[in-house]
Amino acid sequence: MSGEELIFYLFAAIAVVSALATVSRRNPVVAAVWLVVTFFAVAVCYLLLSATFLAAIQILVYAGAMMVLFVFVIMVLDVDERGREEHRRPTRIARVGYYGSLLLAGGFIAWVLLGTLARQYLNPGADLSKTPDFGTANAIGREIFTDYLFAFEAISLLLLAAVIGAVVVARNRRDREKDSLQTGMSHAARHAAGVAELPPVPGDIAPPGPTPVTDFGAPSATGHDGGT
Amino acid sequence: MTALLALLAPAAAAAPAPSSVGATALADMGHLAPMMIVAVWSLLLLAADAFAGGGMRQFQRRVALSGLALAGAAALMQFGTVEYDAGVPVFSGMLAVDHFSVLLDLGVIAVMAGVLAFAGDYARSHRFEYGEQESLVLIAGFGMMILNHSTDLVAVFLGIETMSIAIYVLVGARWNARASAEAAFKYFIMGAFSSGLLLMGIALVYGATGTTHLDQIAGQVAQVFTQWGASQPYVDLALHPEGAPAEAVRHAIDKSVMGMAPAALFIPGLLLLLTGLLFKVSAVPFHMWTPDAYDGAPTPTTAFMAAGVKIGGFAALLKVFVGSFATQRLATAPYGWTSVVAVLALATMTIGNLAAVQQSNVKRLLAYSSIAHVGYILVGVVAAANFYGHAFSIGTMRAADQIEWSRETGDFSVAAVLFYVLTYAIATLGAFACVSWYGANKTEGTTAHEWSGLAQRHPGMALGLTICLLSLMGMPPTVGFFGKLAIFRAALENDNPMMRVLVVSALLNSVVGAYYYLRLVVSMYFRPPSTTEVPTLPGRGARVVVGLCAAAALLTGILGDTAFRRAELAAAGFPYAAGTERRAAWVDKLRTRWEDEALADEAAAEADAKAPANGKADAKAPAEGKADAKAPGEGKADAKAPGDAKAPGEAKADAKAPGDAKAPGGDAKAPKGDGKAEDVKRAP
Repeated sequence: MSGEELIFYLFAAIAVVSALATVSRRNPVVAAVWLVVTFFAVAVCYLLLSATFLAAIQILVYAGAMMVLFVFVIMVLDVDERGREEHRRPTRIARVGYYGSLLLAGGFIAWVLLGTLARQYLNPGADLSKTPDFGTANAIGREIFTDYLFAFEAISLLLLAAVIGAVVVARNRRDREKDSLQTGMSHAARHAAGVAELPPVPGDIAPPGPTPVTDFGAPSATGHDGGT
Repeated sequence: MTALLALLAPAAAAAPAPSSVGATALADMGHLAPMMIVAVWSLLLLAADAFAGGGMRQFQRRVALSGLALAGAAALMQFGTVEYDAGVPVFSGMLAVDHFSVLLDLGVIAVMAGVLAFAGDYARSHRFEYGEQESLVLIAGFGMMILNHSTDLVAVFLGIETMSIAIYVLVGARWNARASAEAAFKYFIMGAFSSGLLLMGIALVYGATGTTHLDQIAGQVAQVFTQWGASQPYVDLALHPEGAPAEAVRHAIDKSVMGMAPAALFIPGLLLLLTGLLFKVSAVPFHMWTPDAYDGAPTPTTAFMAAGVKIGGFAALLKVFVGSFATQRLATAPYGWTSVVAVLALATMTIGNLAAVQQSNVKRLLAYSSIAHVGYILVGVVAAANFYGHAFSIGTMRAADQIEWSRETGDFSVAAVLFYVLTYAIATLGAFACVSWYGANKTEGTTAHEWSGLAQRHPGMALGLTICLLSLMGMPPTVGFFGKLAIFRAALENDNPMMRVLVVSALLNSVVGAYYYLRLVVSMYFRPPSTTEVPTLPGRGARVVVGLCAAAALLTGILGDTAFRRAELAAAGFPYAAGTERRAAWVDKLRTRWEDEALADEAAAEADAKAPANGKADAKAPAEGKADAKAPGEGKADAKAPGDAKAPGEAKADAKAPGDAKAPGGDAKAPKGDGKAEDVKRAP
């Protein structure tokens, strides 16, 4: 076993273990820290694959920026201690489903590993003879602006949609109520008419009428397609 | 703008090999004109909303619809032209422009126009108006159009994500109703999970084949699975090496692994891809989100999800599974993926229909009915894959004409799927438009008893909804009947007992479907009106859309054959890569067949005209046909000028004529989006 392989197996193991820890920890901050470990381990694996640029980006963007964002969100949300303590005892069906799906997932992973091993056997060491500048920023830039030009440009529209979504979902609700009442009036006209203090619309959150209004998680009367 | 694009498209075709990357990209954008217009308009609307604020909102619908009219016109100019017969790969094989994609683009554009015609009214009336709505609808439509054009798994993923993210927002935008947030949350969590599965599947398929390009994957898959079958003797030798020379055993092991290794990675990837795509079209094990998301979403968004997402989803399913994964050992029964999909199709239509029967909420009823329709469409997908699977089994030495037949019927099945998806989209858009119209001012009339006696209060809308429901049900004069007929015909061509079982159960399911559709119709017409009157949406948008959809369902039904020809043209040579001669040859063959049929019809009409002296036969039709037959070269150059002007050979222009001869009567699908957009534009 060469040194490179040794490093790979070490960091692959770290990545798997820390990923498991990420999803199994109760405390969100601890989970986030484990996620950082995963990101670093995966970045090392990228390095071993001679994808240097990707490794750098992985650390900069994911381990750096995204994690800070996660921690901020966790702080802002102020996760309730009580909520984490109490959890219902799983029913038998839930437990069977849980272990069954674990078994299925394990089988699936074994299948994929077997395929990978077989492919490795077929042509060991193949696909490693890349172009000399493989994985560098130069090579990636060239690919992005030639072969993957469309994907690169279309992703900008996708991200734009995500940003709009964040704005639409998070906008201040009281402002929006006023806003939708004064439909058709420009801001200037609204100020001129002095209609900023319109009476609140009755039936604020829950619309009267047959639309089933349910709380999150609780099954609604018509919902959750019990008929199937 | 149109002039510019019209200039751009011929320029793209004229320049054989543009030198710089920029010139190529520009030419490719010319080919993708409808998509580019949609993208530019979405940005335009966003900027306008940002700078003009609330004052812009009255104009937003008009601006959006004018952009869609432009995009529709560009797509109409592309559809059916000889230039796109073989398909044009653009953006270094990431996408392709062919009749298939352009026809589905027209469908998506029509659906977007229909939804935008009343989405603003709905939002205003229910007090959740927001300026980004039009822009989000256009971005989602852009994602669907990527799916229609995709020839690469990267594009497939990108299209699905663009479409989904915009729709998550549209679903959750109704901030004053909790059901909307719940629906968005549910759809988002499940959708993100299924996207992850899809991405994992793409990674595994890439690992097995070393490429993400669908045509190259198809080649690899055909090779691997032929080898897989051929390596059986080697496997035997590798398992029982007694007495064989060591070198031979070593060779046998190599050979058997060579056959199996890619498959071992590929099949999990295929299953994950299937899961991801079936989630998007809400087939049965992955349908749980559908009723809640459809019910909680604002109704125009529900219409968009039920009509538009299905178009994009089935475009991707056809491209990936029927186009690339339809090799015999991989696709066909008993061990291929089609048997999985067949079982799912059966479950989808049965569960969808049985659950719909129990619903008392009209929105949920239509949601379950849309699940049931996915089951019918999957029957067509299974049929298409089975035919192509047979056609590509070169190893079994089938007769050449049998392979030819398999491909022809495969093309027919794809055409049936396209036709069904598009006609279903029209009918379901009309139905949901009617549901959006019924209710205003934060109250919605979605429970069944509120719909009783609708015909007495609003006879026009009741009639429109009835026609749309009859089309969904599959009643003969409407187009839904011809869609079902085409799917069942395609399925029955197959000498496979599984397909017969599927068709019989689909027929039984149609009867169940008739029960709940007719129950609604009966309650609208023969029950006394409910005591509380439900307010209706102000503005003409929804009414115009219901009327146009009903008219479209009827007209395309009456002109079923001419409408179906558009789908046939789109599906001709489907399994061949875009830009190849063989694709063009299949389209040519279809056109020659139409021309022969037109000539035969003409001869028959002349014989008829001679026999009864008073000339009972329709005088117009033969005359028109004759004019075409006499001057095939220049006769049609006026209608579709951009294509014909550049027609390389006389033969092609010639072959195009019969298709166009039908155009004045029933260019049935095509002008719909356009007409709709223009009509609505006039409305406010």
